[in-house]
Amino acid sequence: MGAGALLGLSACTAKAPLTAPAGGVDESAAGGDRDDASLRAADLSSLELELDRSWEELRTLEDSREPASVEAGAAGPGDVVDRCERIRGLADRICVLSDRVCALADEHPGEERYTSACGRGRDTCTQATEAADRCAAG
Amino acid sequence: MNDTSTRAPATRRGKGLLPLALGMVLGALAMLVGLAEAGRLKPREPQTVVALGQLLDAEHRRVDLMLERGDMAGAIEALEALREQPWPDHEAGGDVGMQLRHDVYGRLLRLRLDHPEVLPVEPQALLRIAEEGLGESYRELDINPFTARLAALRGEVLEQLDRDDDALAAYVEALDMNSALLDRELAEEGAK
Repeated sequence: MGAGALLGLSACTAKAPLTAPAGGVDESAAGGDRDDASLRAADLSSLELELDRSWEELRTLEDSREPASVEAGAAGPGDVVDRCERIRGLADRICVLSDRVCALADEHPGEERYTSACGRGRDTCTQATEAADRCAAG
Repeated sequence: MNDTSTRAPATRRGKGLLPLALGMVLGALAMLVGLAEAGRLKPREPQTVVALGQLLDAEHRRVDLMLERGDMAGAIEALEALREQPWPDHEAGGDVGMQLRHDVYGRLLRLRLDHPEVLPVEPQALLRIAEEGLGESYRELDINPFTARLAALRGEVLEQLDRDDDALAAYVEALDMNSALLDRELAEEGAK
């Protein structure tokens, strides 16, 4: 999946309105004589569903963009990422950032700005990890 | 997204290519209208975003293939080439246009930071990539993973430049974005 999928373009082109059932109604079964207005209304309904799916994927696309994932042949860009995996991914990123902040704080001992940011980052990391664990535990 | 299993042949419908093409255009534009209605996007030039998305879709796939072959230089060059193409500003491309740019620049910067020996550039050039990619209005966007990643990468570059105060600010900003994304995810989970 690439940017087109991020936009929902792949969905909109691969599942173009005239080649896929719109609004749950197979156009061929419906006779195929609908006028443009009704066709567009049905298409829009179908596209709204596609839109939601596309937006969902947008939020998870970053994971598939990680070079390590691509190199290792891990989950393909088009794969659906489980919600708990997304939460885990966010928790991991939060904790990596927290580590970076705290590493900087170590180099700036006694500087409140750094110390405070490190403490807040640690707390956020802990909460995010707990949320990911809760999700994984079901 | 390339779900060919649900793709019905046009011939089965007995419809020609022209309606199909019109449908594709209508579909893409309707999707963008839907985004705008959802308060996520109000592109002044939706057709520009559609064309950009199609271009980037192809380019990301090409980069994927290069990375699978271990061709880091080719991947970096392809992403660098994308920097040269005209990007819509926030007003013209809306939030999605900006996120598309952040995705490309984030991918480029990640590769450059992970493989500094490939087509090496000075850290200052990396900072230019980060700031050119983010643009001036990135804080106005709806929070999203692409902007969060690029903000974090900017922090890494600033740290390389020994600009610790700025790096800290960038990391904290990225932390806040990811934290907000997590909150959003958990809120959706709770609503189900």
